[in-house]
Amino acid sequence: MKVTVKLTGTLGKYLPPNAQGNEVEVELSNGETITSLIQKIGFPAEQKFIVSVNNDMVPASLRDTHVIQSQDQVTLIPPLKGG
Amino acid sequence: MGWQRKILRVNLTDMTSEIEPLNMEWAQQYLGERGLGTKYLYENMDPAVDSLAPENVLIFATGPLTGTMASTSGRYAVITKGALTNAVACSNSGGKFGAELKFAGYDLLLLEGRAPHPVYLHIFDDRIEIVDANEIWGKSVWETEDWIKSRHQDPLIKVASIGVAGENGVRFACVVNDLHRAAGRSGVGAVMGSKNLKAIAVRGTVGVQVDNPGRFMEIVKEAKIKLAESTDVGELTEYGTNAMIDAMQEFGGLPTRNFQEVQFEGVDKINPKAMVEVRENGHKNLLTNKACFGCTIACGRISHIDKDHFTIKNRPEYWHASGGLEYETAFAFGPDCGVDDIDALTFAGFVMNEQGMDPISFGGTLAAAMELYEMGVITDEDTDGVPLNFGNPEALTVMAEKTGKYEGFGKILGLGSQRLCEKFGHPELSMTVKGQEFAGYDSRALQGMGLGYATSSRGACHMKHDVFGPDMEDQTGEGKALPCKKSQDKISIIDSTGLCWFTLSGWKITDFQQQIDAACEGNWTVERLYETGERIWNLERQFNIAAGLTSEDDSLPPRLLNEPAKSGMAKGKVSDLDKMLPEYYELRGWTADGVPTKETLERLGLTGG
Repeated sequence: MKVTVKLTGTLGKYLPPNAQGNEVEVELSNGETITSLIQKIGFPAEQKFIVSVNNDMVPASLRDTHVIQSQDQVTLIPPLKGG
Repeated sequence: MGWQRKILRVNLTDMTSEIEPLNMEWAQQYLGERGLGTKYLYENMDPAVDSLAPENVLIFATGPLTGTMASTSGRYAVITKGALTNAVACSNSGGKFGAELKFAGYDLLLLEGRAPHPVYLHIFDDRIEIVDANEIWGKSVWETEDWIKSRHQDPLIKVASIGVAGENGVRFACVVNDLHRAAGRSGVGAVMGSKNLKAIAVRGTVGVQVDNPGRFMEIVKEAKIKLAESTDVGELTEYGTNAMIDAMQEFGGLPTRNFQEVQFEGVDKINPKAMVEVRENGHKNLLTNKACFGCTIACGRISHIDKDHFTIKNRPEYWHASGGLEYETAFAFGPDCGVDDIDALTFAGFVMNEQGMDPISFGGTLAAAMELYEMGVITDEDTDGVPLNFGNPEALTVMAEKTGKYEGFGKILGLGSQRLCEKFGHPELSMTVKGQEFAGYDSRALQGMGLGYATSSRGACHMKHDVFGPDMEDQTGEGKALPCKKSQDKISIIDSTGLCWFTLSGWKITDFQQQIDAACEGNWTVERLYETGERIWNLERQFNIAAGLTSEDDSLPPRLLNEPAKSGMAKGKVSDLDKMLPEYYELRGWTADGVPTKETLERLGLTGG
């Protein structure tokens, strides 16, 4: 199945070469999670991020278990800090 | 050591000054800068006096680490009763002024009374002069700094001054040092203006000593390496704070058009990418980044404006480089006013520095006026004929100049949004807490931030707590009270060191503790630091209670409590403040009315004098 992953703001530098704009389409098997998805696009493990699936936030504690569905829109957002 | 053990007390009414020993008992209880300054404020004035009356006290305070070799050691704070808020105000700044004040030998300046005519204070170590400033009254911050350096034939003098806005009591006037760093919030510049004090010019040669120099050098070296190796710090250096604008857009927490919306369609035109984009005519907004004294992060931006832009065409006085967009300026002038013209935003930012105004409060006030204009409550007759529609870049830049020069409708904008909205019969449209405008984080998406805004001693502020971690976990109010309380205590102590809390991107509290403990005598453990922070927070609360504030002032505007977010990840949500606040009061050891209990005050040593 195919899902679209969007890397926003400063995370754009981690987009793989086949990205279109700030999005990349990824082929996944059934049952894959957010954690396996970000490994698949080569996103650095130490980089902090917020993730939403179809505009709903997924807590960090559920990234290993949240299963991605076909046509899901996954968005990675840079961590928030003061400014 | 760390402390200089001296304060300078200046009575502007009598035009006298006196050097006094620092109260070391208070230094051991409140550390420095924010904490120690608040203690001196509380003990030297009646919190109930009018903020613009001569009886208000104005304090410039350094921390024990200000001016040392620690990273980011340029911080100082201005502490007073705020002209915008009528609450305790503590507004800190970087640049080089704070370190210079320390080098002159002072932990703190305490200014009382009102000068009989405009003056500036000139400090060269122990030589103190109160100098006539009639010649520079009516001049901008930039002109004032040039004039003082020229008059004293000393380019190394460091100057903190007010512009025309502060002279005229613009409620959100700030104190600007080193041309474009500012103690920006709560109207501390208006208090300075009410004292007829145009500037403080300082040169110092005495240096700073620490308690254990060998240990301090080792610890500082390790701490700097940690900052250098931190990815988060690297991003602050590379992108500046405006990197947050893209994150908040996606997070659905970017306040837009006076908080009517939480996402802005024009964000790509004002984000860090737009700042470095080379245009067809070769112009690029961002020139370089810049560090404050001792800083190894350098989050500051230096920009210039396209000479063909309507704001500066044929105005060469604005063709130079100056402070560029930081996140709060970009949010307040951009999404909050609906403007996506990056040159207009940059120009308005220049004007804030030139005339000494807080961009967050100016932007928030203009946004409220724009909403009232679009409702037909404010008309062209009020605005000197300037259409005040959301998205109009000329409304932003013209009104920035009018407010800075205290002309026309700028005088009304200079009231701040709470007083302006009350004047036009719509107090509910003021996006403020305790009269101070919000920073660029919407409380419906960042629930912990909302609690921090509501309970901040100085009114709506994003810099007195740090609940970003929990707010990144979920968008509910559950479990936010404890991290809010703990981070308020932590930041109270960091604000009292003389260091910048952007270092939290690479440091933990133990990194601060080790540097403080090596620099200052006394056994400064992490537990003691948290207790000191809690003491400072409760002292600020006592000041506010004595000033007449109550738990009713710990609230958010009805828009954030009742109008659901219209889009983004927090769509449909309102602030959960009603659930968080009682839990917060209980964790603080305060009554249900938000008053510290006798037990809490006794535990923190806050009973008695």
